[in-house]
Amino acid sequence: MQEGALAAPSSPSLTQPSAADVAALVAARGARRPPVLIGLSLAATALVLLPMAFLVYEAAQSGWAPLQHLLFRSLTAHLLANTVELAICVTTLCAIIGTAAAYATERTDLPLRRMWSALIVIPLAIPDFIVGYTWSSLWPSLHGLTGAVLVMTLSLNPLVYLPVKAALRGADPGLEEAARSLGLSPLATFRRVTLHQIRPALIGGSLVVCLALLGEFGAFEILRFQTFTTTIFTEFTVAFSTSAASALAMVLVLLGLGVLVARHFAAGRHGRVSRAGGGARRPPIRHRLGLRVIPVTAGCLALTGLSLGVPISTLGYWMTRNQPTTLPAVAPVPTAAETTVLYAVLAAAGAIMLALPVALLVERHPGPFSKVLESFTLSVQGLPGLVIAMALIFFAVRFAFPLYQSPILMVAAYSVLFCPLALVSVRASLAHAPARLEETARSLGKRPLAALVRVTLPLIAPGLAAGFCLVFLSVVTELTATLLLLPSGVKTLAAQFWAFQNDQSYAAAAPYATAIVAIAVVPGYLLGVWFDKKRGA
Amino acid sequence: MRRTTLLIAAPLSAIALAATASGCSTLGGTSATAAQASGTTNLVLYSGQHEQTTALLVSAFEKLNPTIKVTVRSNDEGSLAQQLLQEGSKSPADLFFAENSPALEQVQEKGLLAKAPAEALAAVPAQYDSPQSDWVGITARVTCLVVSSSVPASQVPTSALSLADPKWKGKLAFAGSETDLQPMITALAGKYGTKAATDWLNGLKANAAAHLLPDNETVTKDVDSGQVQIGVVDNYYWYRQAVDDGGFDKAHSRIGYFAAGDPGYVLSVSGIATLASSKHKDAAASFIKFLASPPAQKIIADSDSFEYPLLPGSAANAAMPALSTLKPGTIAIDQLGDGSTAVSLLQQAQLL
Repeated sequence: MQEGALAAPSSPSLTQPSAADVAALVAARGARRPPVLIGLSLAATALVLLPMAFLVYEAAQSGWAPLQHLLFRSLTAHLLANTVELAICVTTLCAIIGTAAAYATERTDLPLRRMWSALIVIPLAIPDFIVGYTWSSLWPSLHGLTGAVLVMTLSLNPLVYLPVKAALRGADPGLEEAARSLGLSPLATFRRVTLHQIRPALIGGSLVVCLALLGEFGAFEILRFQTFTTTIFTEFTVAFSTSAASALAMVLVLLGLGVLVARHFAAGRHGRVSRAGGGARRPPIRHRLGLRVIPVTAGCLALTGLSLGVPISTLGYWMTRNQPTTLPAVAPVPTAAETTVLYAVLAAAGAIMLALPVALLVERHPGPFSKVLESFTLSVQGLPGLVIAMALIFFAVRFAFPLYQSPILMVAAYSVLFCPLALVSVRASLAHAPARLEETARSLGKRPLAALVRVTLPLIAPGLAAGFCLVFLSVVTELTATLLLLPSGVKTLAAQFWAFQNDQSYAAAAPYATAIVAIAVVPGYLLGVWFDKKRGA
Repeated sequence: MRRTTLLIAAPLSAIALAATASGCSTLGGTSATAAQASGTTNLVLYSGQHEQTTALLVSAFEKLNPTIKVTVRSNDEGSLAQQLLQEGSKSPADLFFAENSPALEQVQEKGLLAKAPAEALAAVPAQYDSPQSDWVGITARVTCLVVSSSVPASQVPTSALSLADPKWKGKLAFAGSETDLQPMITALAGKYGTKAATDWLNGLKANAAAHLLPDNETVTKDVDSGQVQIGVVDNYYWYRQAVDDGGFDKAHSRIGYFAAGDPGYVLSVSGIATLASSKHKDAAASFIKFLASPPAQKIIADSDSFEYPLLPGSAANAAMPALSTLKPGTIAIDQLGDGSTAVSLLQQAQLL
């Protein structure tokens, strides 16, 4: 069953294994990396790295001198300052808000928890344009950094909330109880025990927020906040300067890798967080809120009111406006909804399949090799959808023309685009699934695949579900890659929404946006229900 | 155990779904083969033009030519031009309908355009067509100002150059990344030299520091709602805003034309071309000829895109002054080129 496993260290990236790598290999228990896993991970990473190859190729086309001219100018410094400021503010706020919200719905007896859980996630699926438009019409002077921080925090905090909630759900309550019984205050218990348990999820979520910010476009365009991504867009589509756009995008990649290195140090020296022993899982005790229920409910109300209520009221206003438009809808709402849901489901499955081998490799066979592989896979999240779509056009036209503008390429683009979201969720729950159980299954004669399907996957099901929902929600609102790669003649909800909104036919656009929000409620709600069922089991 | 089954079943059924779905119309992508089977020609049109008007034109064309089906791919013209450049000779597109001539010129320079049908070129005055006969002008618009009702007529600037005057500090809005602005910059650079054009752009940027907006729709909306006094746009944006306000008399703004012959007063053309790689050149040519014909030009005039039809004898929307009464500057289409002069000036001014 292990034949060929010894070949693993001689895989391409390991021709010169470092001392640390060898040490990690020796240290990791039973950790000869299965070649199948390595092969799958490498394939996933290679697919995800196509956009980078495209950037290097395009930037190299024009040579160094003109690039130098375009890169080292005051605009770049301005963009760098804007982007870094924004990333720090929004990531910090999302980490705090997401964790607080996850704790409130997961570990307290807050009434209507299931409803809050669903409501907190949905803003992720409200198109940036609606959020940006709403805020800039409510508060016209809301521009620049303040506006960008507000809008992005409100729409990205679910990216921290979901993985942290999954981690809280899977964490061993025994440790917290032990800490409490040894006299630690609830706050100290949270800081010293719970925070440690949710650390991988929190860091993973914050990382995705940070990377998603780097690649964000729509909201900043409306809020008049110039970042690398907005400028890459103009260089590509207004200046027709592919090389300038590529050079700026490579700066963005470097920023993303910088974030990943920072994560490496933040995550550092922490051991396993999975349950040590066997025994039946017991759900953690929920803290009694008592009178504190009032401020906690008020907090949830404020969060969902700002992030969900405000944009939805804009939709309501649009709906009531009687505005004639002669623009025929290429796809009526039900057709567009069907297309959207189908693509979102396929893309979510695709992203999970790309992420799973990388996550398994990183969690079960840690070492510099898997670390590098994971970093590359994650760094793609920092790239704008436009760059990823252009790269896939470039490669598909040259090497896989029959796939061009076919549903398969569209699904591949979404899977690559949102693979990091799946990876973070899957990895966080793998950290909680004890490897020992898989090893036991193996020692009882199960084949690796059977052990994976029968033991590991059920253990990490919350992470798989969270990842699936995150990708699903993101696909539903994706626009830039969609407009470039969707087969001609069909429209997703977001694409048809864009067509009307671009035409300033807001009343005609509103039903599409409403359908997007309605679709987003489903995974948000299912996620909540599913979690609650598990608790009862 | 049931949960395990579910876990395997979910992705598997997703894949099965994909397999069946890739053949079904919901995901798209199979219309070309279906068209071949039924004996119709399927044209793919990449359109950066006003989506509403394009849809009207396509359905009128399909009614006249039942054997030709036109599939429209809408996006902003810059993204489509980039997509065409990446696709090169393998492009699935048969036609490219751009909002402004520089986008067509970008594609033309890479040799990706076929010669336009002579009949259509002859129908539209030569000054509105591709200098190399590669594309045909279909509609036109002019640069202008959108002026808030609060600004008295006597104070409305009549030359583009005067927009850089410090007296407009904090009162001016424009969208530096809109492709519509580039013809104006190119024209000013052609008339006064690149140095003067750079100074002018820097002056403009300083005056509009608080109102550097993402697009012309926002410029028009902000002037109309009184947040800023004047904005640099193309004329049709104001009409669309006025329709949105509920009528031309309900708008809180008006159009300010530049003085006759002002270099910043530029007429720019939206045109259509056949891709050199098209396998349906005859069908594509008939679509272009249709756009340059009286019925199509009337659809354009009657639509709410508020652009000027270019076929002689086609009257514009009644709400607009006739094209013949407009007195734009003298810059020709080939001098507008691919917009690269304007882009490099915008980059120097750190606006791009």
